[in-house]
Amino acid sequence: MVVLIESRGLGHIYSGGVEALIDLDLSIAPGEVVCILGPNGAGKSTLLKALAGLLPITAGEVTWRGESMTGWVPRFRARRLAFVPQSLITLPEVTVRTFVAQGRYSHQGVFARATPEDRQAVDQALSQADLVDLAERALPDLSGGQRQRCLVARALAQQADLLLIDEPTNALDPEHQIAVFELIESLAHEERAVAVVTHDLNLASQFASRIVLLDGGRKVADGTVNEVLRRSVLEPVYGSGLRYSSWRVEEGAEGQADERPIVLPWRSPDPSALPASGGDGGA
Amino acid sequence: MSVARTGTRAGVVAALVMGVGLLGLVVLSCLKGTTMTFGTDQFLQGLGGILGTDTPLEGHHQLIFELVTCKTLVACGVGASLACSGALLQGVFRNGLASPSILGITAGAGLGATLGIMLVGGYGSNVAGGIDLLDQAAKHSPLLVTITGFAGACSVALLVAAVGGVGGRVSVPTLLLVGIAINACIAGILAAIQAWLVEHDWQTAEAVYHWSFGSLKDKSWTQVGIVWTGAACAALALPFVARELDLFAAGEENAESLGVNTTRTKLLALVTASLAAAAAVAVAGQIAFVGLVVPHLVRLAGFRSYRTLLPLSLVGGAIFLLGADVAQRYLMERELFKPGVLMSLVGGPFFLFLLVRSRSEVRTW
Repeated sequence: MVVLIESRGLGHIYSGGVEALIDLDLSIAPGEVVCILGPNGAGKSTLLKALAGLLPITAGEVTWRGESMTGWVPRFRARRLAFVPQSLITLPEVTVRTFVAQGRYSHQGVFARATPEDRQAVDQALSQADLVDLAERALPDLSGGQRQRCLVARALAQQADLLLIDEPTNALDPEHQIAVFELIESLAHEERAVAVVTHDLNLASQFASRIVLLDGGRKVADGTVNEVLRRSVLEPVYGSGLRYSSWRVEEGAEGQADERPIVLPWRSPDPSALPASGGDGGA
Repeated sequence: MSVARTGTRAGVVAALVMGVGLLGLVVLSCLKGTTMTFGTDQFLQGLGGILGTDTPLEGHHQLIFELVTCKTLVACGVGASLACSGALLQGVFRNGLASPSILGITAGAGLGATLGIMLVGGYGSNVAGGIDLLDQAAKHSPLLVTITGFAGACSVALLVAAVGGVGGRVSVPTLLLVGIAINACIAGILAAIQAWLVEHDWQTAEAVYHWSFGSLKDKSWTQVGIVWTGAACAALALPFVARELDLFAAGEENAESLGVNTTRTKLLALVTASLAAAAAVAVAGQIAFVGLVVPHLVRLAGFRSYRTLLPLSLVGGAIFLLGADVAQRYLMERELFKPGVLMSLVGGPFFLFLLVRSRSEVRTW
């Protein structure tokens, strides 16, 4: 199997001595939508930034298509993998098109003006993120969901094979959460993979092709949706405050049925709070 | 809401208009000395005299014309250097309050120049333990204050980079704190020196005082060369940092994820900003406000992208400083205020007025 990025024994220690990532093995292949889950402080965002080269690796190694990424310069790296932050510290006062075109930086030289390829990549990114009608609008005038799509579009303009997306649905209403994840799902194809950090177990249940669960900087589970989103796996990590159920999804022209787990945070410890239960946790 | 003008066409048009305006100011400045006024034919002949293509003006007229020309070119170079330095530092620090003084560069030049003035004042033998050569060098080298000022500015820039750069990475908050600490130290040293001078040597104390408010008078071609070299350094660095600083605006991590070599960008911007400011302050003394105000004026005109902001600050700085000086010479018939005082008196309220008029809340994601 072709592997895009692979980490072996990956570790990161913050300057205060806190071990954020411990001996972490992970591989991502083209076509995958890998959701990285875990409680606060589990090391999800740190993992994404370490893979993106934005944080120094203090142990282990990361390889890209089998070759070590050590010594990669930022411009070279940005053409292969794109990092999408949760938000930016300031809101650039530029049009959506100008913002998305920033993704072309790594493809351009010092004095180079935008080439037809740059313009085509920006147009394609705007189109994929459904931003064509908003292209000439000022970024600060957009809603939260639209801005999130702009961040993803800018990463698409980088034409990277791996998108690393950090909590894209924070502070978005349910409709926009679905829209952003539908966009993310559509981006994974035979050449490209997407890794998404999220706190939303149910969005991961619907859109992930694989789930990686982190706790205390270590990987505690790595598998399909049904393998990871179950009481026996989640309870040691999230505690007993979750309720488990499932949703029957009809898929494909032949109408094959698929059971997708539903996991809800629930204040009452009483299992009868939910009418139906599924997975291995409801019984 | 309005968005930044990132298109180069608007920037080129603005640069052309400002360039023509600057050229007009240069001519106006050269026509009006403090003691005499030149006609356009004298201007052309004097210019030919400098370039060696015409016979020089008669007697001391050529000398005065050259002094006015040097003053004009120094004003342009100092204004351009300080404004460009300020714009670069504002980009690196992602803070509109940044200016050459924030890193201690201006204070370093001040300390260096003060020591230079003391050498000229005859303290070389006392300071250096009886080495008369320093005294003699001071008396025979009119450039001494410039050189010691430049050395002071560069020493501080190197010190800030050495202390602020941790483990090969440059931490912007650390740099800021180092700059503040160095400013405080130097301010203390300068105050102590000034207090001692006031009691023991009024003449030298007065020279230090005059320098601290800047001066464009009595400049030589060598000083024109120094300040223009600083401005040229800044101008040459612009293509290598402008787009990068645009991406810096939304955070260093953001810039790095898009492929920017953030450490190289910060070092290049800091070194060129320091060089330009050091050259300007060493030649003309401390002229406040240009480095802070000019980039903001360019921003208020809608040019917020560093690709247009940096070059327009370069031209705008020259216009700002020379314009204020020319206006003073034509309107008051004499130089009532030193450039530093003038900048503070005119620039401060004008800047405040513009800020109030275009006040808008800071937008976050």
